[in-house]
Amino acid sequence: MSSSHSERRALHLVVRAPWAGDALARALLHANARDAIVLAQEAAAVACAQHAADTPLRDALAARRVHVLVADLAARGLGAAALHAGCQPLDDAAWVALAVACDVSVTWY
Amino acid sequence: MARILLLFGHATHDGWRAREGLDAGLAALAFDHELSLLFVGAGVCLLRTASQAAPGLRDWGPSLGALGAHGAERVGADADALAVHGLAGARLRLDAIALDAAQRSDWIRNADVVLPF
Repeated sequence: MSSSHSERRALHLVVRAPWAGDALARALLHANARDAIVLAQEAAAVACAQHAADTPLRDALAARRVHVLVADLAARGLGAAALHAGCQPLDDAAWVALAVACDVSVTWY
Repeated sequence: MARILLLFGHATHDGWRAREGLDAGLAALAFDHELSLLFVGAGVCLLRTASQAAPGLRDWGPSLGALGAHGAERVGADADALAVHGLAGARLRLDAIALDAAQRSDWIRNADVVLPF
C-alpha cells in the first residue's frame, strides 16, 4: 500500500459481453485514464473490430487503456489480428504483470 | 486490517449475490477488517425499503442492515442509479451517501480488496 490515493491504479476485469448485461458500461463508467481494463471470457469478443463497431462503447474503448486476453479470444475462434485499434492483446504473463502493477482489482459481471 | 469494499451491482431478484455479499461482509467484520458497501446500477434496489422478493427467492435487502449494525464503516450508492430507480431522496434501508461516478471510482481505487456481488 505504498501508493498515495491519487496515484492508485485499479484493474477492471470485465467478464460479460455488453449484449448480455451492463458490465462493460459500468467498468467504463468507473475507470479513469490511469486504470487498466481487461476484457476476458465473454467480454473478449467486444475487442474485435467488427463487434466494437457495432456498439456505442467504441469511442469509450479507444479513450482508455483496454486489454483483451488472447487465450479467451482463441477459445472463441477469434484472432488478435482483428482487434479494435483501442485494444491491446494480453497473454497470461502480461496479465499477471498488469495485475501486480495495479493496486486493486474489481471484476464486473 | 484490510479496507474491504463490497460492490453490489445486481438487484435482489438476480440470483443469490446479495446473500453471498452479506456472508462475506459479516466474515470481514468478524476479522476486524474495515468494511465499506457500495451499491451501483441495479444494486441500489437492495436499498429499497419496500419488499421486492421474487418468486422462489428471498429478499436479502433487509438483512444487509446487519452489516451496518455490526460496524460497516461507510455505505455509498450510485446517485444516477438512485434517480433511475426512483430512489433519489427516498428513505433507504441503509444510511447511504449518494456518490457520483468520480467519487465511486475513488472508493474502488482506495480499497485494498473489492468483492463484487
